Amino acid sequence: MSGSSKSNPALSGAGGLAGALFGPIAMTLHEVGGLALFIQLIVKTALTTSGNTPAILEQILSIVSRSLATVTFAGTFVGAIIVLQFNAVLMVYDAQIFLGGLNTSAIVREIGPLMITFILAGKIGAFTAAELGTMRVTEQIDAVECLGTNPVQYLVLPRFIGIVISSLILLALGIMISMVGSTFVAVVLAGMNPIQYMSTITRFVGGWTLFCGAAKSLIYGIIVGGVACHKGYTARGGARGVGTAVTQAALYMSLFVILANYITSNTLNFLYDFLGTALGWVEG
Amino acid sequence: MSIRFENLSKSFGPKTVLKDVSFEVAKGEILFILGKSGMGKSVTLKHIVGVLKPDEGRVFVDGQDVTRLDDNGLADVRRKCGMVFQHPALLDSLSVYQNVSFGLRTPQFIRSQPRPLTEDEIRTRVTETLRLVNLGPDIFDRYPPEISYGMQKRVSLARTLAPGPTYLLFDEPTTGLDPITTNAVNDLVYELSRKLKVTSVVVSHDMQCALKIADRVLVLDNAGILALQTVPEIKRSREPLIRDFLAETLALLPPEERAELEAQP
Amino acid sequence: MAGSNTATSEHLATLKDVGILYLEMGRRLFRHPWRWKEILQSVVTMGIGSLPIITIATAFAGLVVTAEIAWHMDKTLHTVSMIPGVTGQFILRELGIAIPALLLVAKVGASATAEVGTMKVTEQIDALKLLKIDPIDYLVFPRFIASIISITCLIFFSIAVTLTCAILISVTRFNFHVFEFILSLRPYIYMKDLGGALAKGVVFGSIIPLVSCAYGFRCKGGAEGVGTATTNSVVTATILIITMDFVLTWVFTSLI
Repeated sequence: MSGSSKSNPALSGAGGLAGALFGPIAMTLHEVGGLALFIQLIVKTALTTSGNTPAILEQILSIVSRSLATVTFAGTFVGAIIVLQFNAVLMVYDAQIFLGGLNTSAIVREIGPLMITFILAGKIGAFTAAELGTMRVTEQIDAVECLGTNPVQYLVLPRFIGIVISSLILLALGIMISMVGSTFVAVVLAGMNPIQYMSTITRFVGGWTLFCGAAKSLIYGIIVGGVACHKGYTARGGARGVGTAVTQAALYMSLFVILANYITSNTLNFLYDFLGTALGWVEG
Repeated sequence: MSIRFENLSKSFGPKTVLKDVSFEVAKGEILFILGKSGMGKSVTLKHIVGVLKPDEGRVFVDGQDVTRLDDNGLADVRRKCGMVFQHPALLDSLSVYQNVSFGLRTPQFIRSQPRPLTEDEIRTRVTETLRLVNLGPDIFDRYPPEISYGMQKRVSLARTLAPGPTYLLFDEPTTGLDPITTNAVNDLVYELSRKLKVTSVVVSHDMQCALKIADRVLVLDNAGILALQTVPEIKRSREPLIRDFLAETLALLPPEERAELEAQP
Repeated sequence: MAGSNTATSEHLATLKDVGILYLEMGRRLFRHPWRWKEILQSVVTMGIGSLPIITIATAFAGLVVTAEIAWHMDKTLHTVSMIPGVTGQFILRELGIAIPALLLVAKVGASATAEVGTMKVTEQIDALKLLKIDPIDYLVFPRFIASIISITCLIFFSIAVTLTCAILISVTRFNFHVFEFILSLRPYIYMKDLGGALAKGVVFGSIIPLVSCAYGFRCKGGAEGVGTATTNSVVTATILIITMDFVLTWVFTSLI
């Protein structure tokens, strides 16, 4: 048959290229679809079954206590790194006065939520995927189901809600610690006057900035919790399967958060432009 | 009243695991489902409790079509059919006592009783059930990672027995166990079936266990039923696969046991 | 899972293992001939395998960050002329490096730990030793070299992608011309930034395989053990990378 891809190199080449381009996109969409369905299942279970508040509180406590050390460490260091980078740039433009404001704004709006999310994903997300994955391949989830309890309600829901709520708690802590780290480094390593540093903060950071940070953190928390629980819950195949579940969870948590970052940033900025001009806001 | 499979077909992707399988489990019998690995034994079992849904065909438990039930209906079926998994599948974060009593605290078990059980009643049930599997109350407060694998398997069995099922479904109960523990588990399955008057379906690839304690044997091969016969009939079978199975099994037995098995009708 | 949190002493012991592995790698660098074919194969698998995800992630990250920085500049300093310089520098120094590094911890690191860990609990590592094959020679060293090469390349690749997206957004949203952007970018690219990127690439590329293998070798306990080891390796590698990021940033911005 003339003109088929086998006899037409141009077509088969184009086909191959299209495959290479659309392959990963198709796979990502497939994963997003799987995640969306799973979150839908979680929401449905939450609305139709009885609550399990003690379990949820237990999860929140466990998650926050396990993440505290890492958040403190990362908050300090990331705050330090960012302030150094900003400083290097602002010095060139002789705009060092803005360091405090720009730095804090960046941390509250972008860096803080991202950092907390990556910590949450690494420490708690991977662990949850491993935990649920192990329970799945050792048939504990099947056993729970056969004994008459809804495994999503009993196992998944407390972990998911725990992760989402903890992300907000840890964001607040992380931002405060970052600010301490930044201020310290700005003063000690970059030789800034602390009062000067703090002076621009209130101009750049207001209610809207805090709202942006919180909203992003919430959405990322949902992604981390959703992917981790989804990958763990659907693990198959013994020890290897658990490893695969954790690896895939780590990968997709990171990827989806970056994609969500793009979407939420654009949406929030658009909202600000749209509402702000109407309401006369002035904020960095 | 029993378990009936009607024209069941199930595929996973390109692989057809079961095709047009029909059979019935008689009340009170011990039925062994045998076959080589991957021939659909566990898949068959999981269809009974609705963990898997067939591509075609139906499964009836006590006259109810399991494949059409929603989660609430399935909850009732699962209460009637106690499933014992290949892994002990105990919840690591709960003690032995909490694990065994798990099935007695679920909302749908409570719904099935005239009133919820008191803690004392639960305690009594747990103690009794553990005694049935030759374990004492001294392990109530131990956690699964602390006890031996054999004990975990027995606790897992007790957990399934606690709500009082009328059917027991075993998924490869003796796979990976040493011969002594295998015998112990076998004897336990036999005793419990007889003592509690339950119908047992055992999935296994251990022909020896089947020959010792089964009433009937179902052999699966190539997505279909190769044979469904009583033990004496199986021993006289002309099917090459079954003859191979038998030969392998008998070859592994010590001479006295072999003679004993061969002598049985 | 009761009691499955790993003790700090366990982490410290594994970090010691990582240090030992670094020394072992050092010894092998100058010793017997390298197995180039195998290493190159790994480079291709790691590199090409990670391309799709790195591309998508860094593209989006580039779009976002440029948009955000530009938006901030527009609102506060009322000028967009600084965008090429500021974003270009930020991408080259931090963004184009940190994002791929963190993603690669997941892709390369977690999967390496899962693989080595599964081999450990299924006793394949012992089997290797009995066959007189050194697991470090066979499993760790090729990964080490391949990782450094591919991660450094991926980092430069991602810098390129991120910059491209930064240009894309500037052209479409802020009315820059492509050439205008590149011209105003040039004075702000210093040799030491490229050197910094290279240094970070090599350092991060060495941390990921060694941390993953260290946790993998220490894995015990079946499915649960593999899960725990993989989780721990992701966390520790991320922490080490953040630490070294700070150290290298400070070195390259303040000291050099």
